Amino acid sequence: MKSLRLSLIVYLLGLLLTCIVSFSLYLHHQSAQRVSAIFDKSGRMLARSTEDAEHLLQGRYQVMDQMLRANLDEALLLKAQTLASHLVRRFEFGRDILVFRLLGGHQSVHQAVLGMPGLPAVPIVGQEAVRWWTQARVIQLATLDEIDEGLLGSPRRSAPAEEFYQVSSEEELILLRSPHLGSNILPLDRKTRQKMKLFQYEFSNVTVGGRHLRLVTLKAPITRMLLIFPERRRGGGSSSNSHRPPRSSLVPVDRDIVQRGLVPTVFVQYARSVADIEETLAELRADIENVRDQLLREQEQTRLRLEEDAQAALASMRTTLVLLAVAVVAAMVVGSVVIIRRGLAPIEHIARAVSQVSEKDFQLKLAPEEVPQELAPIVARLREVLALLAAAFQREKQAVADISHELRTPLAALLATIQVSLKKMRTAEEYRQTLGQCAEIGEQLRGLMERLLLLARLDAGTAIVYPQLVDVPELAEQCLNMVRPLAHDKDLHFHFERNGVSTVFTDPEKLREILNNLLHNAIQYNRPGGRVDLELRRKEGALVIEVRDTGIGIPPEARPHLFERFFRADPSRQSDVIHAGLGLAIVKGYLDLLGGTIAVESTVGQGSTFRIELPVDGSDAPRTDASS
Amino acid sequence: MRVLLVEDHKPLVRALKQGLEEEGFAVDVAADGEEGDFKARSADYDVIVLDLMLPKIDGLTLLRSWRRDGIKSFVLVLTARGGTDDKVLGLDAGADDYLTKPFELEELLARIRALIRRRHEVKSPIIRIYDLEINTASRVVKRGGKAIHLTPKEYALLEFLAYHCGKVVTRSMIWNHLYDENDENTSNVVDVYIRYLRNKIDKGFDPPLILTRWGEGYMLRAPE
Repeated sequence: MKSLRLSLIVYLLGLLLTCIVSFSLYLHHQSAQRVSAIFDKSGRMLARSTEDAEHLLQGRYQVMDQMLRANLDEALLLKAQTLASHLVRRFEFGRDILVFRLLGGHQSVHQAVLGMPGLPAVPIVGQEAVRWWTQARVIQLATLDEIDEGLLGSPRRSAPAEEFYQVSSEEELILLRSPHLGSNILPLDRKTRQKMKLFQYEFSNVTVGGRHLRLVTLKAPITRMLLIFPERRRGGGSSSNSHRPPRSSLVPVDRDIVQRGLVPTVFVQYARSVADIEETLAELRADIENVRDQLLREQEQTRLRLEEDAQAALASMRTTLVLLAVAVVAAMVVGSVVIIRRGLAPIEHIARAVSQVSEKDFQLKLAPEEVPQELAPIVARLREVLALLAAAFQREKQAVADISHELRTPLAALLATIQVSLKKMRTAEEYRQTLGQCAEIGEQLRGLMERLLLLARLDAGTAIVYPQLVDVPELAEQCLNMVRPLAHDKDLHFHFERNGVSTVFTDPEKLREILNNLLHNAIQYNRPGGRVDLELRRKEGALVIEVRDTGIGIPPEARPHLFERFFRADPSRQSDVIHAGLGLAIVKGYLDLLGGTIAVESTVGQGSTFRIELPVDGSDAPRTDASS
Repeated sequence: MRVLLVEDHKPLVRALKQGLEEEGFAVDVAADGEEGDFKARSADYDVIVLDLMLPKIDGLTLLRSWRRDGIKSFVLVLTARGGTDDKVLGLDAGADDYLTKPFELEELLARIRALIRRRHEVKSPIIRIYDLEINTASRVVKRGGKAIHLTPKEYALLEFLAYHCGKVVTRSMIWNHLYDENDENTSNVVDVYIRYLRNKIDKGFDPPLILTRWGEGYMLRAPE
């Protein structure tokens, strides 16, 4: 047996569980997505910040690199220029010693190799442009030792191996060079030599003797110094030797000539090793690498920590969700049990009320306000059924009482008759009388039993119709004859109308029983001196039999019950035991069996009419009529 | 003692009337409610045996109307309805006893005798007056220890006198209680039965118990 409450709880909990699980899964999914999005974003941000830091470091490195190199270049250029100007100064200072007059034709270039003891020969370039020169000038540059390195802005001893200079003529003669260059030469290719203009300089990276060097090449004029000479000479002319030709005689070289390249020039080169810069940069690079590594490590750590945090947060949320779900489910179990109990309370109430219905009263002890609207139809129907049941029960009880009554009275008579007879010795005649009386009572009992059995058979549907051709008027006559003595007792008169009805096809015994009962009633309930009419007629293929009396009539309230068993319109029993309130019930049962109907018309105090209609087979009727 | 039998079942009435009369009762019969009502009101019956389901007027209605109108006859209800409800209904309507059909004749007779004793406020079934002993149950009469055979009518007369012991009963009282509606009232029938009774009760015994009050009636000598 299924429990309404249990199934409701199960369905409700199933629904709730489904809701909770889906909601939790959805929530979890959403949170996981969000957490992973946040995680990704932070990872990206972290990576970018690392990248930025890296860029910054890289930038710093580049700035440093550029700065160092720019500084170097500047220093180199400065040194080269200083050297160049120093060369001029050297020349100036040593003019008395080193200036030769050369005789020669103009418009040609003369070369001479001058030498001094201990000094390398220095080629001098003369130029055609100075055509009116009567004397050439030979410039001998100082030896290496005579170059004051201090002039170059750096202590000579401190970095002798790191800085190099070299001065060469346009003819690729090396006029001057750092002693520690050894056999190495600072390179100066021909193309550069020809391309470069005066005062122009150029930086390049070279490798000399396995060293990486930064080299600046500067094209500087030597003749520029000539511009200085006259002024100098003029300024100190008074103190100079008188045997020397006056300086004023020298033709000054104007600037224009110099700019046009018509002055002798030299290439001053100054180089410096970039090893220290590269070392510094390498250190910087290493630092940057370190920092970068550290940053990456930190980024990885942060990422891991973030991931851990995210996982922990998710796990905690999962736990919370599970706990929440468990709590909700528990609350729901309790809640649904309570709710369902409350909800089903009216049903229980009704069930209790129904269980208290007894066969005594068939009352559903339930106030209307206790019945929920939904169950009202059921309860109403239940009440109806109970009412029907109570009525049926009452009828059954009544029937049992009636049957017992009908059986008990003749039985009491039988016993009393026998016991009276047995009280003392009787004559044979007396015994004979007694036995006759007993037989009479026995007959009554038998008749009653047969009627009850007949009704039982009708109820069980085992009564069988034996139809045959029946001469209805003759049968009616027989019935009238049977009841005639009774009618005579009451001084009743019979009227019989046949109306040409002859034979019909029906069950004669049942028809006889019907007529007997109706006639009996007509006599029983008639007034003395009244009349009984029996009329036969045909109507649209039906046989109509009417029994009319002039009796007491049937009150309207009794008519619906007329065909119920043991029912009597007169609440007090009539003395006729034969009928026992079963006559009309049997009439009705037989008519149902034969397919007929019965109708009653009655006026209280004037009489009743019982009208029977029996269907007659249309094909039979004319034939039977004709045969009659 | 006079009994009214209100019952519509003829064979039963026939048997009961015979049985009661053979016991010395005067029995009147009514076959329906109307007749029963009329007879109950027109005579003073010691006991009315009343069937409940009667034509015309049913037994309970009759009983209630009788009690309402002060009819004091003892009523024994006799019916086929044996349920407790029916018994309660009958007794509450004023019945003194109840018997369900079918019944034993002896039980009915015993109950009727008991009702008669109650009517005369006698508890014991044996009535003793001097040396006269009347067993109302077995209807055996003894005087001085010697059994006396009486006919039903003689016995009924003696019992009637005994129930009114010490009081004068008139001839009409005797007539009304010992004879039914169908008996011919001949003037000396009571005197004749008194003489019969005296012959059997008082003859040879002392003191005489049946006394005559001239101009009034008869009396059974009261115990000392």
